Amino acid sequence: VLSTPESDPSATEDPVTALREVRARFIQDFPEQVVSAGVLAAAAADPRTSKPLFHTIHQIAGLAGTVGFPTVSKRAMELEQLLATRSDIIVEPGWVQARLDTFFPAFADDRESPPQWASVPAPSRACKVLIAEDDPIQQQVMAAWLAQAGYATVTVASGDQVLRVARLERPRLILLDIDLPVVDGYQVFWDLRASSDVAATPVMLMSARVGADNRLTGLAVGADDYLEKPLEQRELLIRMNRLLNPTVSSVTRSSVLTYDAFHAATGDHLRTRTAAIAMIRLPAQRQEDVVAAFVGDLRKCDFVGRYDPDHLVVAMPDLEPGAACTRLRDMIGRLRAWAPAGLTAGVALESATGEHGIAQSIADAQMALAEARAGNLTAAVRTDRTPGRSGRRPTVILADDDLQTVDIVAPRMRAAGYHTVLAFDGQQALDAVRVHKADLLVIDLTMPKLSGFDVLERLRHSAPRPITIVLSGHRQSDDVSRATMLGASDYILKPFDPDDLMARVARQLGTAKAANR
Amino acid sequence: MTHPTRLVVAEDHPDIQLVLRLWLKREGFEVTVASNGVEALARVAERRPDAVLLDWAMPEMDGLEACTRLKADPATCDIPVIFLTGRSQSSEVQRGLALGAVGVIAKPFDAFMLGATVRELLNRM
Repeated sequence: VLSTPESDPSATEDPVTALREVRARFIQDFPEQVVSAGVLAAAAADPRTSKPLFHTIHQIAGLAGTVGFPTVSKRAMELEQLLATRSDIIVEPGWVQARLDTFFPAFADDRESPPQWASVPAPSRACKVLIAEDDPIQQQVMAAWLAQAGYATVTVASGDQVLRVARLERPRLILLDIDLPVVDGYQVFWDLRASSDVAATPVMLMSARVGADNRLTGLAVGADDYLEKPLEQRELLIRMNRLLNPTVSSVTRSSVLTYDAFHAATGDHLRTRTAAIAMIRLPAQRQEDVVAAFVGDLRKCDFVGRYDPDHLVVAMPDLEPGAACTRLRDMIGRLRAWAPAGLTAGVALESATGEHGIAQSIADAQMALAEARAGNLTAAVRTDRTPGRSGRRPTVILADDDLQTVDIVAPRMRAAGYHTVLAFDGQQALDAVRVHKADLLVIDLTMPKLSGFDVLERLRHSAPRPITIVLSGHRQSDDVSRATMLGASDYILKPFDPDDLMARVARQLGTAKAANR
Repeated sequence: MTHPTRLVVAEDHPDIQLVLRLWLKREGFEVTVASNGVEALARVAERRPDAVLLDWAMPEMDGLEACTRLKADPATCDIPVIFLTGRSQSSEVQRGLALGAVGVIAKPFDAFMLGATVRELLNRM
């Protein structure tokens, strides 16, 4: 059944349609309104104090602005202001009328440039995503992909609309193209983050600007993700899902995993980080209460798994075993107030990934736990760790701000079985050497914050000192001899042969092993 | 889920009233309209709203008077009041705030920003 707009009350229930209708009525009524204002002005003994005149002008000012007649609105407000404040105006017949007459050209101008009210659909219960993309084809494609996946979408095509629409629509996620007209994506991003009501909305930057530099810039400004164009449907949806359901990637938070799940999660998360691994013995009674209290007290980044009915296994990323031990001792101390006796922890360090690494760490943690129980301690730690010990993979720090080099070298290092930690400036390199007790450092000489020479200088007197290989474009013999004097064991010139680098790394680590024997 | 924020909106111009009602409704507010201060007080007495939006200038009873009465009544004095006004001179705004209003929305308002502005003013409390 077709219904005419007049007979269908819902037609005027659409806010944008209603706004258009109100605008149409304003256009129709405006001349009459101005004429009646003129009549009121002529009739009033003193227009400065005429309430009906004020009210009429006031209403024109308010309505005109809202329905897209900004100039008319401005003229009306000016007149209202003049009448209210300028007592020096010589009130002569026609003064108000002359002002009112200026409304008409303004009206004609505003009428020529109607506002672009996008007929945005009403808020839907589906998860809403705002797409800010100026290319109509890409916009349509993305909107179709998302609609197919069950999302509600809102689209804008220029940067200056994003904040307004975001505040209006309250999307759960914003897909923001960097190269937008009027205001670019970065500026839009900062405006969003500065606006308290939408600051928490995750933003995924998208751009045809490819390469690690652009990607890192996007992430460095604080975007939640960065996607390179052309987009790939599945990747887009998976990445969106990660941002929208952060619990999916952090199931470990405050939940106890099965041992297999713990193993998988730890292996995945600790590829580039170290963690303290703890084995926790549970008391015989009230086990579930103790587990709940214990898990609630862990950090958000910690993982906990059920090793067997009487033991939990915990991975505490970026904690030294000593610090982890202190922390666990405090936690157990707090639980002792009510928990049955018998809660004990043993801690070891996990620095290598893979089956062998974690198994070794768990074995170490079990030994520490046995020591703790034998010595009647709450927690004990096992830290003895020597490079090249069986079950330990060498730790290599790759310090280079040149992302191309990192892209080439890091995968080879990992494939060769080294625990590989990346550093992009000198300070990071120095920190990484200390935190990860690196066996070997591959370092570029020209880096931000601290140069390679600065790092070598500072490592010179530290012990244990990692074996150092300089990887540099500096060909001057001065640099080579200076690096050697500062303790570098090898010096590889860029451009370099990755296989040659790997061979030299292996040689250096092999030499160290032999010397340790 | 909490109930939608209930608003009593007093505005004498029928078209502005329509725009206010539809755009606030669209933003998830539950809106009851009134055409002057007397009606607004009656709507508030019928069912207590979460906030009241008052146009500054209205026939019969203007927004200032309605606000004064709301604030004088112990039963309604804690309901947040927002003024809608084109008289954005600081003295007028201050007068409204001195009466206990939480904020002032300037006319002409942008329909697209209306809900966000109301929410922001109410969140500020």
